[in-house]
Amino acid sequence: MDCESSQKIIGTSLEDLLVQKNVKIIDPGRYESRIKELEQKVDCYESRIKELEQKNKISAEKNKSLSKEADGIKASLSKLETQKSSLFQKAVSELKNKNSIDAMGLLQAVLAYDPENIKAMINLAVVYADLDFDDKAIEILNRVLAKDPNNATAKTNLEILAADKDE
Amino acid sequence: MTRFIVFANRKGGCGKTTTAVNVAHCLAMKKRKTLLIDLDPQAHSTISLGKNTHGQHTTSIVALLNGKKTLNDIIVPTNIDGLSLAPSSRDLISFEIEASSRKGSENILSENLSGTVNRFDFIVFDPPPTIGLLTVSALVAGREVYIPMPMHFLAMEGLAEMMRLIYTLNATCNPDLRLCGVIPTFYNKNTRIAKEITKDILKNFGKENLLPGIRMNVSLAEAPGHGKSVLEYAPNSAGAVDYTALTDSIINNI
Repeated sequence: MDCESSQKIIGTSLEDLLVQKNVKIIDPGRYESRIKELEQKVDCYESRIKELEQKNKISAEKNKSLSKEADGIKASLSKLETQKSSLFQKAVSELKNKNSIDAMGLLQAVLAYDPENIKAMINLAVVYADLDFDDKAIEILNRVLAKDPNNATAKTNLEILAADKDE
Repeated sequence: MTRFIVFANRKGGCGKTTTAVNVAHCLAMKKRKTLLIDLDPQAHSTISLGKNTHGQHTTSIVALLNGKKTLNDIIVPTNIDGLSLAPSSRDLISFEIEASSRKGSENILSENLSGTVNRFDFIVFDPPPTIGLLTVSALVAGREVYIPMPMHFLAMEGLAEMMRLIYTLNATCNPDLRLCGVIPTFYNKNTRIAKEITKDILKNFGKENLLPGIRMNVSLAEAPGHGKSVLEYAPNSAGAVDYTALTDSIINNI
């Protein structure tokens, strides 16, 4: 009789069975060290998260402070707009009351704040014409037309001034 | 922190229930508050602890799984101090058939245990010897898997199949599930087959996963007939000694 005693009793080994079933046993030692590796990564990520949270907090505070500043500026601008509008209304009211000198001062104040204000420029031209400063009036109206070539009021007023000059 | 232990093997007659009952008793003797959950429709753990399973479906684990009772409603004390039981009944069969087709039913047990078992040091699951909903439920709820197996080739084949299941569940729904040990049962370390299989287990799973064996002992077979664990029935027997050593090993296996 030949070497049956040297044959394995179980036939198929556990390893072969695991391979047949597609089961990969992770070496416990490697498993543990992989866990340690992952735990270290987690620690790393956690401290990065803390760092970013801190930065976020600082940014949020900065944001809050900038927001407050912006609100302050908006409020100031709004106040100035109101003031400008109020000056213009006063100027128009003085003009209607034939107080040309007062109207002139107020309109110049509006233009000092808002140099491109066409309505103020046209009204100032009217005041200049009332006070016989025709040249100044023509100059302003030309500036208006340079900005707004189709401005009918400016065109009409210029024509009137030109006609007065001819007379 | 509560430990969740599953004694599982898809091969019947491996000593799974005997191990679950006797380890649960040993844990209680060592002052660990233990709950044994019988998930086998055969209800052999329930019978082994002297409980009657007839007409008890309203207070068995089935009532918990069906949402009709809470865990506290179904837990019964045993005559072993520190050991409680969630008994089974044959109605688990119809539950398994009905619930198997429902999506997510493998999570029902785990969800019902969550937050309600903190007073126990150990929860021991005894699922049936099948790969069905009940066994999968136990493995979803469990953390540590111990596989009792005799030193036979077919039991080794069952072990490989269990590993496949454990890895699948580990990857899909229970990342905490681990194989924590293979328990040789009906163990005769002097046979060639036992030596070869033991060597294979050591080679593939490592020394820490081969636990102290349980020798063949007739007291283990006799005890359930008296509604007792072997530690009550024959405290000086080889079975009692072996299960005490095994339990120490499990307790220290953290």
